[in-house]
Amino acid sequence: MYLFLLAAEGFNVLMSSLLEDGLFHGYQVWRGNDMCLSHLQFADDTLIIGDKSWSNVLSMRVVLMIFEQLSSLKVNFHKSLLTGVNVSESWLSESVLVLNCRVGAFPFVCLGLPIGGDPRKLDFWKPLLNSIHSRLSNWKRKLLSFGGRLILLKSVLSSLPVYFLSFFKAPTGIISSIESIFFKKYWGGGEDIRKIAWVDWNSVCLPKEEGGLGVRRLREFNVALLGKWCWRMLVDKEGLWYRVLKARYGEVGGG
Amino acid sequence: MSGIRCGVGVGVEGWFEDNVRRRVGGGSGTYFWSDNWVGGAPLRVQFPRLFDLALDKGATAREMEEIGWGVGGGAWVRRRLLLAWEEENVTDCATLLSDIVLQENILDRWRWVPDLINGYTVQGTYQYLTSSNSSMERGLSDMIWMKQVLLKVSVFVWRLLRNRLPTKDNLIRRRVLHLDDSACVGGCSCPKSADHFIFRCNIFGSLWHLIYQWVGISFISPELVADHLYHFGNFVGLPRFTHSYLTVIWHATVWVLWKERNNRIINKIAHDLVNLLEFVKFMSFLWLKARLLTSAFSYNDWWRHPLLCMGVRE
Repeated sequence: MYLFLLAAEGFNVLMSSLLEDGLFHGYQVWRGNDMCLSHLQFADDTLIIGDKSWSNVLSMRVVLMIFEQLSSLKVNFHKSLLTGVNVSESWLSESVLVLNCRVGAFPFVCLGLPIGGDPRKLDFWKPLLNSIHSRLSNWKRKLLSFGGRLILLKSVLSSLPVYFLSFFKAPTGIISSIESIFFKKYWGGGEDIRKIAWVDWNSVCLPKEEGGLGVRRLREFNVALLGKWCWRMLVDKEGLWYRVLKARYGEVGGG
Repeated sequence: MSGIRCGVGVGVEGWFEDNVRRRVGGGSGTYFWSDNWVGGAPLRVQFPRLFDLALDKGATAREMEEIGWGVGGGAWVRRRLLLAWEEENVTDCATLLSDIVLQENILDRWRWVPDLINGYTVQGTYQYLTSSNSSMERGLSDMIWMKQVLLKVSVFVWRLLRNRLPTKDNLIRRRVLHLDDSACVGGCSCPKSADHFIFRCNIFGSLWHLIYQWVGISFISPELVADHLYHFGNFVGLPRFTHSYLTVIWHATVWVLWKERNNRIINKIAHDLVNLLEFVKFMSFLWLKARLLTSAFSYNDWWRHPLLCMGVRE
C-alpha cells in the first residue's frame, strides 16, 4: 500500500512539472484569480481536470505513458473515462481515440459518490437503496434473533448511508423509505411480508437512557454531518476545498 | 459565502448560526453588526434600529472600536439627530461593549456553543438535535442493558417493560386472536397478560418463591414489572455489589419463564418448577461466568450458595 502511494506521488510530481512548464492547463476555477485544479488523487483513484484543448489531451496521454514506464504500473485505459462538460460529442469521440479510453457521462462515480448528479432526485439515491437491500437477504431475517437484528440494524445498516449523507442532503422521501426498510426488517418482515411492529419507530430511535434502543435517526444525523462542513468552513481555512470555494465565490472579509 | 457562514440551508432553520459564537481577540476579523460576538446574538438583532441607521453596515469590530464605541463616540454618529429612545439604545449598546477590550495579538476565532472544548463534533450535534426531555425513570436502562446478559434477552426485557410482547391479551387487542382463547397456559383461567404470567400466575409465579428461597432473601413482589425489576435488582437488604448479580438472576428467570411459556404453547412440552429453577441457576451461572473471568466459584457453589459466590459473608 505504501509502495503504491510512493508511485502515486511520482504521478503528482509529473503533473506538477507539466503545469509549471505550461504543457497542461488545469481548470481555472474563476477568471481573475489563479486558483487552478489539475488533478485529484486518492489511493488508486485519479481525477485529471483540464481545459478542452488538443494539447491537454496529448499531454495527458504522454503523462500517463511516462508514468507507466517509470512505475511499471499499468494504467487500465478501458476503465478510464473521458467526460466533457459543455464539449461537443464529436470532439470527445476523437480525443477518446487518442487516449484509448471510453466516453463517460454525468453522473459518474468517483470514490463511491456519484459526481454531477442531483441529490434532490430519487434516482440519485438508487445505488444506496440497492446496497441496503442487498445486505438484507431473506435468510438473515429468518435466522437472526432480536438481538442479532438489533446489531445488524445499528452497526451495519445505519452505517451504510453515512458516506452519502455526509455529502448530500437526503430528500425526505428517501429518508423515510430507508427508515421504513429498517423498521420492517427489524420486526422480522420483508418486502411483501407484514409483521406486527410492537414498538413505534420514534421510541426505538430514542437513546437507551430514555427508554429506546438507541438506533440513529437519519434526518438529524444527516443534518449533523452536513453541519460539520459549515463548521469546517469557518475553522479550516487551509483545505483545498475551501480554497476552491473561495476562488469560485469570493470571501466577504472576516473569517 | 456569507450565507454559508451563517449555516443557511442546512436543516432546521437557524440551529447552526444560533450556536456559533465569535470569540473576539483583535476584532479585525469580526463584523460588528452581523457576527454573533457579544450579548448572545448579533448586534443587528439586538439593536435593529441602530443597525438601520448605521453608516457602515459592514464595519468590523476593530474599526468601530477605533472610532470609539463609548457613549458619544464616533461609532454612533448618524445622518440625523437621534430620537430619545434611540439614544437609550445607544446607551444600552455602549454599556454592553464597555467591558470589552480588544487584544491585538490574538486572532478572532469561532466557537461552537454546545461544546466549547472540543468544538463541533457530529456525535455531539446529533445528540443536540435529537435531545428530548423525557428520560426513563431511576436508571432502569442500566438494569435492562447489562453487559452480562445476552442482547436478545435485553431486548426481550425492554419489550416486557413496555408491555409489547405477543402475549394473548396483546394479540387479542390487535385482532390476531379471538376473545375466547385467552386462558393462561399455566392452567388458571384468568386473562393472560405479560405481568400476569410472569408474576401472578399460580404456576409460573411460584417459581419466584423458589428463586427467593434459593438466593435466601424474602421479597414481596410489587405490582408493576418495572418496580419488580427495580426492587429486586436493588435489593435493600444486600450490599450494593450484589445488585448486578441479582439483576442477572432476574433476567434469567424472566427469560426462562418466557421460553417455558412458548414451549407449552407451541411444542406442548411442559417442565415442572424444579426443572425451571435448574434452568435459571444454570443460565445465570453461564452468563456470569462468561463475563466475570476473575470470580472463582464453581457451578456447585452457585447452585447451593449464590450469596456466598457474590461475596456476601454471613
